[in-house]
Amino acid sequence: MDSLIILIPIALLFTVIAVATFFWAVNSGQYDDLDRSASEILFDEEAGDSEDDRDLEAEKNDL
Amino acid sequence: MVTATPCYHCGLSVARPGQFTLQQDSQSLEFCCPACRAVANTILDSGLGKYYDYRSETAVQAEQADDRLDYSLYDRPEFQQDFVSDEGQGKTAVLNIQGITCAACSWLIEHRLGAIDGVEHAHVNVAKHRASLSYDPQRVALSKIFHTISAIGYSPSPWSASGEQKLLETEQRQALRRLGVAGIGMMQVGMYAVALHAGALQGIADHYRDFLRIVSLVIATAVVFYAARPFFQSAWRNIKNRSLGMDVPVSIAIGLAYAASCWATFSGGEDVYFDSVAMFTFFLLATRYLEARARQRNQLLSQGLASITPRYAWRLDSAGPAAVQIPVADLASGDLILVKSGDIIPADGVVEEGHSSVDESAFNGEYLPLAKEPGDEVTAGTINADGVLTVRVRETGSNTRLALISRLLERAQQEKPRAAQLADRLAGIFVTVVLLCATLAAFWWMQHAPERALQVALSVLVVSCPCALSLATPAALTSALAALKARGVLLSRSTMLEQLPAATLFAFDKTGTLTSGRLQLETTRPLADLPREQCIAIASALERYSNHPIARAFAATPSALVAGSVELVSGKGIGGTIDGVRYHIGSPEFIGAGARSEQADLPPANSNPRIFLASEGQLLAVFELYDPIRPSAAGVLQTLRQRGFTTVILSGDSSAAVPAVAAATGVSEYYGGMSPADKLARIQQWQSEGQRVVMVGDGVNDVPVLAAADMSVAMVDANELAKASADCLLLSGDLNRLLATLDIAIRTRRIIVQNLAWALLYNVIGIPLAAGGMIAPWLAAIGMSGSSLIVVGNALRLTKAPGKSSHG
Repeated sequence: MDSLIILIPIALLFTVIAVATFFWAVNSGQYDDLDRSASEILFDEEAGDSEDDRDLEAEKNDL
Repeated sequence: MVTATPCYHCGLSVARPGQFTLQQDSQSLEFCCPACRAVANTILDSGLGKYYDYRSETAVQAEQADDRLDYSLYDRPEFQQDFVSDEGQGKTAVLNIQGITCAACSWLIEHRLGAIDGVEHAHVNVAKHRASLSYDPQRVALSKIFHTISAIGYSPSPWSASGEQKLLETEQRQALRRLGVAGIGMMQVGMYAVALHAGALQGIADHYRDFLRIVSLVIATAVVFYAARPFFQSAWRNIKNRSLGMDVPVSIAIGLAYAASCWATFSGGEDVYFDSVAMFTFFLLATRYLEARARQRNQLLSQGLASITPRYAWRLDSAGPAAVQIPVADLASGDLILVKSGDIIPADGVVEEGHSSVDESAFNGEYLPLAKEPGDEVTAGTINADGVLTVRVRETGSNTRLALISRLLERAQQEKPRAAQLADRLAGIFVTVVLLCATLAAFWWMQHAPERALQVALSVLVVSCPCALSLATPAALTSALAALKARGVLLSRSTMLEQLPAATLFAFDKTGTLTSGRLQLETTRPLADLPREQCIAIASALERYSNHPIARAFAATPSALVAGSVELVSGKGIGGTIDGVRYHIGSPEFIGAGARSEQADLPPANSNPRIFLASEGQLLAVFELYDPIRPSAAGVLQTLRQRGFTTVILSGDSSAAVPAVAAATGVSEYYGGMSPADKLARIQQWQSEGQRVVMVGDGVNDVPVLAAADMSVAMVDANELAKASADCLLLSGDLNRLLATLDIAIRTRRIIVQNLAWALLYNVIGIPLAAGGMIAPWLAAIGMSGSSLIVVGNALRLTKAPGKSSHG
């Protein structure tokens, strides 16, 4: 049972990393537009062939 | 109610099916107006028809293609500095885009812009109504980008970050970080709480129990001191102002539960409540975050005063004859400015030279422009319809009539009768009662078993944890906001929902609210041998050269004819030669002497404006125009009256159109020719008689009234200022949404009452048990979480569609 003494602090460390990642995501503006991301995946699915390249390019630029 | 065909583009009902159609894949699409058809045509032609499959909201009704939007200005560097930045070879521009209704809009705009040669990449932020695009200035002009966006039905404008907006953004990110910490903390602490509760039942070694408690304490500390900070700050403000808002009990609950748990952790006491602390914080932050997001979205829809006035003016300098284009902020009183046809007048002043008609509909509610001659006053924010005017500037910026109205608005908003919120009123009583109970319990236990007194007092305070009470109202309001948004209604003041069922009187503006606000051709009476269609074709060919609202009625019937040697006489009419014949269209005085004598024999005009077509002294036809009443108006007003509300029309229009609209909608009480001050006085008199007034309006002249009324509703194509001052915005011209709002308001109120009743019941049972020292820690935890979940679940029922839909 003494493993708890080691494992729980490790879990805490992961929690801290999760919170830090979340802060980074918020600060870099990834949550600024929640309305769009929800449905975006539906749009690209059927985009015409000629548009695909441009979409990919646009997404690369977004990242 | 008659089911009308919806417009393929904007979803408004089509007044005359078959009038504006477009063939697409052997299917005939119906449109409400030529502007919507043009926009849809552009979208379909560019191969982006998928937009109509993707979208979840209908588009905003398109504006008539408008020549007065001259974007070429933005190609000049001095006007670009606010919103364009250099990035290596290319440039990056940030634009504000009005008219975005759902995520499909971003898809449409990005693909349309992406197809322009020279646009490297475009990104649209739906939540902020903002597009950022990088482009190569060598290959594409910024004005072309502006035109492309406006051709697919959106209105672009330069975006420049105001300090306020930046602050809002920082605040929103801060709120999201707090929510994240509370959420992650809640899950972690919850996990350890399961272990602790299991341990309490099955037995657990003290040192493991203490270890788990200390870990929980560490996480809960982060939640309380970081995530829950806004509650403490707001509660402190409340206490300083000597008022007991909802944040006071919330802070007491969080603070005491945390303190009691810390004390238990270090003294080996019985219960810790870290899980409840974290969960409570998370739930409350979540509802507040959603509320703030809804509010921010509504603010974006109205850009306020700045968007009504133009950004530049043409100044006539004494040095040269040519006018110089300067930013409006540089205008000074006494300057001489040139206002071209179709321009928005940038400042208040007096006409020195020129004749024109000026569209003041936003100010006085009349859709026909007023003739302006030298010596007449003009107002900033009104539109110069046809002539060129030279104006001596009298007042600029914050001294204009427009700015005056917006100050009137601020004052009216401050004086607005604020209905005390049910939950806030209850909170004060609740806190007093709980504190009293805790003191009494402590006092009683002090007499009988002093060692348990502190623990019992704490458990009373913790068990009474007003989670359910403080979640009752916000949870219901948040889910009502979502339900309304799905029905095309945006609320900017959520308390309106609590007040709406108590309203007694609905006051409507006429132009643009009960009517569509756009003139249409009603009847054409040929008076000579020329057939009807030919008369309309000639009229359309001539009217194409004018910006006048009457001319726009003829844009619905495009003509193949082309008029030559066109002569425009401001406020009177238009002359032109078609196939060698000279035609005149306009007022009786304009069309020629012979024709004038003939028109005297015609039956007297009714309230609708009429114009005459004549050729070489002979009257050819008379056109009657009308501002069509919205198809939903009569039914909605009828339903309102059936439900016991009074309906009244308050209009700035002094013509006979007011009684006509009143008759068509069955309204017996109506007032025409009202100035904004008259309207305000009327509303205040009603209020003093104990009426609760809902004002539905759309113009600048309605602004003070919208602000002063107990509740106010604006239409989506309303003036920016009107949108900013209204509590609620209907996203389409369909007045049925007003009824939908009313229905949801009634259901919301019912749910709030149920929630509050449940929360009180829970406390009435829980507090005496806790005071008696009979509540086990796990029972308290289940009770608290359970009652919060019941309240939230009950509120979520609002987002489901009602049993019977009120949509027509």
